[in-house]
Amino acid sequence: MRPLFLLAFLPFVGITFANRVEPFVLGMPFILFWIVLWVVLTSVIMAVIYHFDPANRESGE
Amino acid sequence: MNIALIVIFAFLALALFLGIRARRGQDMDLEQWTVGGRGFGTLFVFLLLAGEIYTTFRFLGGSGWAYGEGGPAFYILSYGCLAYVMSYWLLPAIWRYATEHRLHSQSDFFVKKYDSKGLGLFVSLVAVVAMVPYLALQLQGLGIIVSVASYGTISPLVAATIGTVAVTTYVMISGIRGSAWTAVIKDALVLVVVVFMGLYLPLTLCGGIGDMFREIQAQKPGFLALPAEGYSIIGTLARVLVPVVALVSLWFSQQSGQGVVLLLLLGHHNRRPLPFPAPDAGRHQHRYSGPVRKLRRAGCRKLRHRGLRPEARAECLRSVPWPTSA
Repeated sequence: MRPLFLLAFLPFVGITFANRVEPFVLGMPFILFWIVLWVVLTSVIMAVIYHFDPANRESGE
Repeated sequence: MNIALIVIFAFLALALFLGIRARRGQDMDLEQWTVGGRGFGTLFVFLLLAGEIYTTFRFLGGSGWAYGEGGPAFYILSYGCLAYVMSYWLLPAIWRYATEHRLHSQSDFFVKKYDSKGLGLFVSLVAVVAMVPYLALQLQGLGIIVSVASYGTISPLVAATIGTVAVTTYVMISGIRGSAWTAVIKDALVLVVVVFMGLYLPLTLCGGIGDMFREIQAQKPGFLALPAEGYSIIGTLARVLVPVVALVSLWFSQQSGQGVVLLLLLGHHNRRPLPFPAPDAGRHQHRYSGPVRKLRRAGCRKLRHRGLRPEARAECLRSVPWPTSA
């Protein structure tokens, strides 16, 4: 396993660590904001992994 | 006949029309039927994958749970997101392997990869057994939605029956292309309805989404978070991870679901062509290396020297089978 792939564990850990209604962020209860934030962050993390994953190089195909 | 009935039947007709028309311009063979000739583009696959998570659950189970339980319903957002993380390593690898070995279904994959017909058969059986409650739930949901939307004129049973007949018709005729094209309408419709309701109801009832959440917090403090009891971290993890695994396996079974039905219909597990028009061998030409193609052509050229007309030569080229493994 490449060290880069360890990044993919972050969402599994991060997404579970919030359980409160207040403060409201952008109109959302904090837990919902936290989950939405991690959905976006997960996309960013996966984009980074995709970008640096040698399996996705054109020449590697 | 009320306006709701007209709208419902118009969309049914549209789905049937698109589903059946999806076959047009395709020579239907098993590869077309199960995996669309492996020709779906990135955007189309993205739309299908994105749309796949929108089922009747979004209207019934999801909203019902959010109303009844509050905060725990937010897990719906997390599990889809986490499942896609896992699929990054799983699905492309399976896709590459299946393309390389020209596999059609999930059981094909297990037969080839583990070199075991028994395992493939077992996987097919599990997929069928797993699909039954899933389909039953979806059809029941469809029945309830249509029954409510038609103001009770169509009973849930009649709605589910019509739905089953329509789906079976276009899937039998057009295979994966049929379900792909009807999925496009479904995804667009679900998205429009969900976004509309998600904005319209809070805006008209509470004055805004933020105001709605504040009002809920004022009336039922803590309802929007996970309750202190009954939802421990482990329990929540399990609640999130079980659907993640389930969704990943659902992709598997949806990929193979139609293949499985086909295998049941044929009653035999092999690459026998469908009872549809014969596949056009010429289409597969690009899959074979130059020497193989040259050999075939050379063989048929010899026939021409023996006085065969060009049409006969073309006929000969068509009749020579391509090697089964390239």
